[in-house]
Amino acid sequence: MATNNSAAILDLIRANAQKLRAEQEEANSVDWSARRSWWQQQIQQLYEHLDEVLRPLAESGDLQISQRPQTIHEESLGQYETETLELSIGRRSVVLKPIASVIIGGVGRIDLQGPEGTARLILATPDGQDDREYRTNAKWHVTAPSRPLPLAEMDDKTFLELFAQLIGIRSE
Amino acid sequence: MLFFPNRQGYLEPEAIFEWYQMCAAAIDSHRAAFLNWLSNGATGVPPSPLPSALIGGTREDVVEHFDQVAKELELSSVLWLVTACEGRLRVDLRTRLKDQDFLATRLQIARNGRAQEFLVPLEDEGIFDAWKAFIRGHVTGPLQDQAVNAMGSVKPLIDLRHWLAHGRYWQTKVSTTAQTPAAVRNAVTQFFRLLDQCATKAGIRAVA
Repeated sequence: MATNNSAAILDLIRANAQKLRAEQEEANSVDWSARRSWWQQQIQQLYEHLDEVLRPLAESGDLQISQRPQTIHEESLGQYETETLELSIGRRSVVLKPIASVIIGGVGRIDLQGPEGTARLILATPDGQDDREYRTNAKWHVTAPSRPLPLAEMDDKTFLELFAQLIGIRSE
Repeated sequence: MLFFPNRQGYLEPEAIFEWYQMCAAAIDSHRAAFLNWLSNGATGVPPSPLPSALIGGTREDVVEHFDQVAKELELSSVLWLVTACEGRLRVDLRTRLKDQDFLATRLQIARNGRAQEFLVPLEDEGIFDAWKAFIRGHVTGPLQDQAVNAMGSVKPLIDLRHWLAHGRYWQTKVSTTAQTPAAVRNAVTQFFRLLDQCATKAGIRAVA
């Protein structure tokens, strides 16, 4: 039979159990398979866009672009296949490596590693917008791992500047 | 009123250690909140406060981030524990300088005419060496070795205290991994317990 003391603890556990179940239900209500496909698609779309942006360099033979298969495991999304993108000039390369979709402050992250440093691309909804609307609102942002905020929205120019910086090309 | 009691004129290691445990539990709880939020898909409002360093972070980043935060707490706690040790040694010095026994005489020599007691060094012919000479000369048996060994465990902590208090601008040789708050609390408590036993055995004033 529950004493007064144990009744209070049972109430506390019950109240928290409801909260934990609600969290679990919210997590279960997410279609992770669709999220995974969407994320894989976002990576490919980004690569295709960068391919276009960098095409003049590739066509002149100044830049080599290649992709390599990569396997990612995420707690919510499970194991899935994607690709890294390697952008090479001579012996120097910048590699874009997808890290995860379920991250803090965004819905996807790709890390860039080059001989002159690292950076991150974060796929995120603009400030103040609900990240549950990511399918329509998410945009790529550039950030530094050591100082992530503020996120700067990425456009072709910022990507090219970032690439030049990471591979070690400075303006004269 | 501050949390660390100062009933005897110095901070009490047990209270500092308890504070450390509370803060460590809070850090663990905040870490768990982030991991739980990520497990549930990282949708909706994230736990607050959200450290800017975690933007874009994965589970592994969260674990690493909070490990680093916890380590900073450990180092802060170690600093307070060592300052408590130093404070007690100096409170003890203040009362003991009025005495006439061997230890008091050695401490007066260590003071070397300095007007303020806080200027008496801990190391380099200071308080530690005075205590060591007293133990070697007036305490026999296993207690002598135990007390000297306990002093040997505490002296590196003074180096660690300097490193922490002066902004860590050089590489310390003291292991920050080995000197956890629990290890430092134990070393400091054991040190004073043994000093007190030595004082009792030699028939001089108990440690403050």
